[in-house]
Amino acid sequence: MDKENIIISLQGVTKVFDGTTVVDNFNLDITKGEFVTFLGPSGCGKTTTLRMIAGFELPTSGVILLNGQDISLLPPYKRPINTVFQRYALFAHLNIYNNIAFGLKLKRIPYEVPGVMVVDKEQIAYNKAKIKELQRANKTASEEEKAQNEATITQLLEENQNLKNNPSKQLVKFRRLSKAEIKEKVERALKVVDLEGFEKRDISTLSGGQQQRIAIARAIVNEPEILLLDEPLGALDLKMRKEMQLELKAMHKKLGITFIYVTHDQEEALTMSDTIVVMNDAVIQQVGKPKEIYDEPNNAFVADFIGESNIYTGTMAKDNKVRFLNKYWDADPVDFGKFPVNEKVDVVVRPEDFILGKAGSGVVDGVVTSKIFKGMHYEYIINVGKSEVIVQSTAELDEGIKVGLNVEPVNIQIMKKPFVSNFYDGYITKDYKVEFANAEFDVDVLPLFPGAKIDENEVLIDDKGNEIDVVDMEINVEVPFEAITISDDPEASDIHGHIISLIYLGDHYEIMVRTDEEEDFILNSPDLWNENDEVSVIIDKSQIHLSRKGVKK
Amino acid sequence: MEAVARRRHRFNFRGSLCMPYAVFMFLFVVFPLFLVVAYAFTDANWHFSLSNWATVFTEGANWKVIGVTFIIAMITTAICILIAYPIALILSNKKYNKNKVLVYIFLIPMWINFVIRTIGLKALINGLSQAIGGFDLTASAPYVAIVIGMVYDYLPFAILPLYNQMIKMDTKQIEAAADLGANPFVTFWKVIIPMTVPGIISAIMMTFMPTMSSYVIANKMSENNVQIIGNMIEHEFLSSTSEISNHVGSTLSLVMLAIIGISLLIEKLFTNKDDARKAGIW
Repeated sequence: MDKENIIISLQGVTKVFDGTTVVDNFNLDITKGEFVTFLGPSGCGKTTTLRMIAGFELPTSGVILLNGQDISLLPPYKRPINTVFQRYALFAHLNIYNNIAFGLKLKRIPYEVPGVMVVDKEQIAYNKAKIKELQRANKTASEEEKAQNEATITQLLEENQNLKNNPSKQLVKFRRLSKAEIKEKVERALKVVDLEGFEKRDISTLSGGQQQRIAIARAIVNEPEILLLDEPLGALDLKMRKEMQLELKAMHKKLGITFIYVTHDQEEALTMSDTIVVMNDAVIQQVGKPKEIYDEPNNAFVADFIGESNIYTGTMAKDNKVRFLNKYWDADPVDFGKFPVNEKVDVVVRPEDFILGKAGSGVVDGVVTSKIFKGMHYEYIINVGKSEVIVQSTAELDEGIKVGLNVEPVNIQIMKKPFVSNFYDGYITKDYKVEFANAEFDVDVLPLFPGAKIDENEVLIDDKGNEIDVVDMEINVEVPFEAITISDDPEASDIHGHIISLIYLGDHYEIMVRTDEEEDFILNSPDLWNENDEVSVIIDKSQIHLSRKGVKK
Repeated sequence: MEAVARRRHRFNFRGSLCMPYAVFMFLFVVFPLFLVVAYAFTDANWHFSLSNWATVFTEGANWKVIGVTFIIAMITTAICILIAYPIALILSNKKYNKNKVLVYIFLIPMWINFVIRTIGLKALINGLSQAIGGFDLTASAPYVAIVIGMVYDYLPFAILPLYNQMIKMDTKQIEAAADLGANPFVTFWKVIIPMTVPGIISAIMMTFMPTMSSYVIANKMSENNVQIIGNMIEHEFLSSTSEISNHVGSTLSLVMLAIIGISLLIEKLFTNKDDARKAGIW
């Protein structure tokens, strides 16, 4: 990326609210004139990131650079950034003209007073600071350096005297915009949003779409360097939304301002953006052009969130092949180099990338179980063994017939599985059991301490008979996805939580359960649950794997 | 259909529900008001006469009492708003007032009988002034004491409508102002104040009207040395031996009503219809 053109740069930006990390180590450079969209489900941290750019929230750590200058702690009214709010936030007590002119009336613009020169106080202050620095340095400097510094100090003092006596700087004053200038700017902004002649109207007489346009006009009239849009179309109906999407895009082209747009609507993001930043759970999942994100998703979450996808758990095999749907498929050699043989991976195939043929002609056969006409194409659900495959095709097929499925190797997206086990910090209780995620498990801790055993007094001793103090010792706990099941019976276990996400992986769901104590459990389940279902988490203790912290296997 | 319509015509059940209120309003509002008007415009023999009005307005002392009452009410109201506004602003901020406990701290004094409150306050300020300057504030500066007493008693009535208005404030508009370049000071004057105008109007009404008419606080805080309009009305009705005293008292009541009514009208001029609709109490 062209370093010169970076307008705003977020570096390691993190925000923590009451102990919950809402935005985690956010790194992003945005170039001048770019249309960037933060996309993600609600609660993923996209709005908080936007609010930190606007200045409504301060980052817990990290910096935000605007044109290379740190603005992380600058209050919102000092930033050359304007926001279009989700619910417009127009001033109800002002008419449209005064709403739009609000920012202009506060603006002070610099101008040079011709022929008037003033003393350059900034340079004098700068020189003074330099002198102080040199004097401080002189306390520890060698004789030679001292002499040199003294010379510089004398020079600087002379320069300052000179500056004081000879006004050398052009006088710059600040003035308000004149009434005529404000009027002209307001009229121009109203023209951009297509609401000419609305100046005298009251806010309450406008429709939602018109209010949205006024909110946009109120922001762009200040000619901000960056325009922030916080789900600006969320409150509009579908038709209005489509119209405004095109208009916003056209406006972006015309104004040339950098747009940062926040939405949870993937279609909106794909239509409008130059760059999409996909976020989930406070973390950036992928940054890229819309096409890149659609065609080359980084992980199963992005694939599932952007467009319709078939996602399967696959295994890398020999000879450029990947195994999923119980068959070996030719994989893209580019992908193949990235993963060792036998590694578990996520495989994504877009519905339109399956090639349908006669039974036996493809890699695998399936039975058409459902057919929906979608206008341009048919959408089929095809059962392959226990797995479902969604396929879009223009060919018309009848339900119940057997078809062969094939996919071009480049259209098989192979992605690293984020992880296949849950990891927790646990500790050993005084009964030599293990506690983690706020629950106690009867897991044998003896294998952690070779040669140790429990004596008749129920005390852990080593091979020489000395007691080992392990109570409260912190250990790593690994729980594979397979070891966890969930139940809607609250009596089934002591761990209760609610489902926060579900990803369909062809023949099962990958489910994430979060407890009230903010512990997450990821598991595989063949059953369909709903988001926010309250469930009990049952852990098969024989599959819990323990290891000591800091001890290599 | 027709039968239903006719039955409805004969007996409107919903309409009949407001009958008790109509009777109540007539007995306790319209009829007494009518009586007051009747007293004010008649002489001792119940003949129409404007003599009561002449009596009230020709006496210089009466003008003074009306003026004093009005000025005390205005000053009290102004001080109440100035104190109540920042308090309400802080109370309505969730950051400082997480579970609304603070609101109760300011409202709990209202649960105590206000005569007791006033007597207690009088003892307190006299104690303080004795300790500092060796005099009784209520005796040497009765007007100041009255204003202190009224502000103390009516402050919760100013806080409550302001607080109610402020918790409904659209915080996004405050953010929008900051976003558009307004520093906190400008935001306060250009956005927060206009947004809370209905609450300010309610608060003014809630303090101005009772301070105009209440005389107990004035009596207690000035050792009965300052006469306000309420004292005069009380005197006319309860202790005057003149045979037209009830008539003069009624006239004075109407004068007070007129002052409050005119103030209301002036207030109305400053609020547009939209704000009035959203107003907290009025």
